[in-house]
Amino acid sequence: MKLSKITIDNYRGFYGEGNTIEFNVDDSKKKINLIIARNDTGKTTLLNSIYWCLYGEEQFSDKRSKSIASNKKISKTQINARLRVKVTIVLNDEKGPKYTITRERTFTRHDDAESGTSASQCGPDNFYGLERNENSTGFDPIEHLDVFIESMIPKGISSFFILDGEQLKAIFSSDINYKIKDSIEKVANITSLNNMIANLKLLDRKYSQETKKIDPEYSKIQSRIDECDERIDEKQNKLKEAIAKTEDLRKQLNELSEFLIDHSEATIRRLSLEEERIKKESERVNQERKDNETELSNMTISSYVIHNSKDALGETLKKFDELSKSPDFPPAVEPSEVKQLLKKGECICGTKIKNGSDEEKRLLRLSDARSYKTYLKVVSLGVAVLPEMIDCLESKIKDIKNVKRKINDCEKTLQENEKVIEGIAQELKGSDKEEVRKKREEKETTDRDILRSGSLIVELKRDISDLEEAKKECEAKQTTEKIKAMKNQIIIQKSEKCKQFIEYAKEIKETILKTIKDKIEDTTAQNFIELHWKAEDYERVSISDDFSLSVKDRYEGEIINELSQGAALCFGLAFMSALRNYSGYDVPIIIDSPVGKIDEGNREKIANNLPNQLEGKQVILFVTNAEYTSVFKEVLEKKIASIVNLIYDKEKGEVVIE
Amino acid sequence: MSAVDELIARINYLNIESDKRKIYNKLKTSIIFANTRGNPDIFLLSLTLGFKYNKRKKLKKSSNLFRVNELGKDIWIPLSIGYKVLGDLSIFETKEGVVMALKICEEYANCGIDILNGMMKKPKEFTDDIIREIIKEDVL
Repeated sequence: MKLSKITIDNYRGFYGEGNTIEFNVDDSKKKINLIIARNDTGKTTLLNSIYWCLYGEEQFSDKRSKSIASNKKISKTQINARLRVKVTIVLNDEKGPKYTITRERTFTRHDDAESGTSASQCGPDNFYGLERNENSTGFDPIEHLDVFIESMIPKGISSFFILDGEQLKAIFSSDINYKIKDSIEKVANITSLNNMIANLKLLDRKYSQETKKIDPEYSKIQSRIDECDERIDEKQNKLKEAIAKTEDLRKQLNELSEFLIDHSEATIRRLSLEEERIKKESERVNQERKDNETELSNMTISSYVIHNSKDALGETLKKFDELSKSPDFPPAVEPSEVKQLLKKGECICGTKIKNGSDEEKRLLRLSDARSYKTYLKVVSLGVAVLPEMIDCLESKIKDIKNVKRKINDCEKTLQENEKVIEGIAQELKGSDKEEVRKKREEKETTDRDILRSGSLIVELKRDISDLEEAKKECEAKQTTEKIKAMKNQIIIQKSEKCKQFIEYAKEIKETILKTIKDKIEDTTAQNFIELHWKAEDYERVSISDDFSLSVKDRYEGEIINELSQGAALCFGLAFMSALRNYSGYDVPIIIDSPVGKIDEGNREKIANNLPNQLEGKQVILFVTNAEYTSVFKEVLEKKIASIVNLIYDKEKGEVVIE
Repeated sequence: MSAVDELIARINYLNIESDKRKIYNKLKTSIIFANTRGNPDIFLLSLTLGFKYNKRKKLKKSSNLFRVNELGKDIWIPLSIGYKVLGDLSIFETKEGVVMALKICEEYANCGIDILNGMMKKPKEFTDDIIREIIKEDVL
């Protein structure tokens, strides 16, 4: 790609519209285009205009902070009126114009009393481009022009294509490592690899996030399923056994039922129950009889005692009665009074009594307080108690009769029951009652066993159902976890691939970087020798692993920071041309003041060798009259395709292109 | 405390012939006396039998059988028999009188126990015979 035309409207010193510079790009052998101008005539402005057109900013001037609009144009523009700055560059391929890139910026004139002429930008730049269509029948707009420019000449390495020779050393003065690395990476097109690595890292991170958490109990699920299976088998076996047992029991029950029917079990049962009932009744009656007999014994003994002593009791009672009713029965007189009366020889009835008479003796006894009182009380008590004792005999005899009757009744009942039992025994005679009883008991036991077996079957079925349910749950969980694990496995594999690719990409990147770096290093060293007259003094030019540039003298001393302006320019050009040759970018190289700081001897070397080092590329050199010496001219003459002179017209106050 | 209780308060035991204790012990185990007071009832029965058949014998070697107060209201039976035999009301007046009456009773019982023992050789008939006797004499 070659720069064939620049059109500048009102850009700083280029006043007016249609200031056009055209380069001869048709001669394939002559690829150097010279712009010759005196100092301060517009070389750097021209360089800036190209840079501004491409990137929207200036790179090579202290005037960058000021307006890019032509002061003359501003001054000629009415207050508040608008003026336009515009730069168009045309790039040709072998078929002719290929791309046209234009940037326009609009300004508004201020009424600024202090500065006199000033204008401020209004609105964003109008930035557009045209590309020749495939059939070469016309031009189509370039979409995403920023991206297009970035792919054609990345801004990061633009300083190796559009450069100011006098400021070349500054490239190495700061952030050199980063810039060189960045430059080499760009030259080596490592960006895409970096992007790929970054994307792969993002992808890997995404995979990590996609990895599903696996249940920590996952490994135990299978053992749980196995356990369920084992228990289900166990329960199934038990169920089969229980079913078989129930079947056997049912058969047994049928056999027993048949036996019992055949042996009139119902009748036997009824009779046996009846027999049992009667026996129980007899037991009760017998007990009742015994109780009555005991009672009868008691009653009989006590009655017999009374019966035998009845006469004695009756006689005593009779006597007591007589005593209590007799007028002789002593009244209730206090024994002390009786004693007083005895002393006087009087009875309690008032009659006189003789000494030693029976009356006196009786009264003496009565005067004995204790005996007297007891005697009275005993008689009184006897009168009350004795009739009771005697009379109760009669009622006791009645009771005895009643109890005796009860005993007789009991005996009668017992006899009747005995007869009934005998009758039953007669009825049961011939039937194998014991065998039937045993069978009946067996049947009852079998019934109970069937019931228990049935409960066991229900329980086992429920257990099996529960276990199958649990197993299903485990299997479902296992399937889910398995799917998760498989997905994770795939993701892990992808992630591993990512990491592998990242490693490959890094390896490739490192290899490419090293290869390019080594080539650039070699070429820079070779170029430097070709460009600088005293190059043999420098033992080695190298780019270290951390991308720092190094120039060592014959004594192995580092002198990169001690290079003279000229040597630094030669080194910069050498590095730039080496870098340029490996870049693969098909764009012209524009150098302002390539030999400004170079003496005559070196200038010849540069003039001879620089075009060779940049072979195949269009080179636009901005030189002053002082740089463009006869020697320089003589060496370059055969390689120059076109020369443009920039002249400053003092009268008009504008740059004129010739 | 009743008047009789006061009277017998200082009299401790009723006595039997020492040799006859074994009869008392044997009879106590009989079903007939199973639910009675035991010794007091056997003594009373022996006493009344001895009295009925008018057989009495002095005790050669006396032995305590039971406390007098265990007889309760039935004390009237020995006292009445004592009065019947002695015909003296003094037995109801003093301790000495009571003791005298009881002594007579002990003598009756001393013979009566042998009669009872003889009757008890046929225990099944014992009760029936007695009942028959009571009912025949008292009711019929």
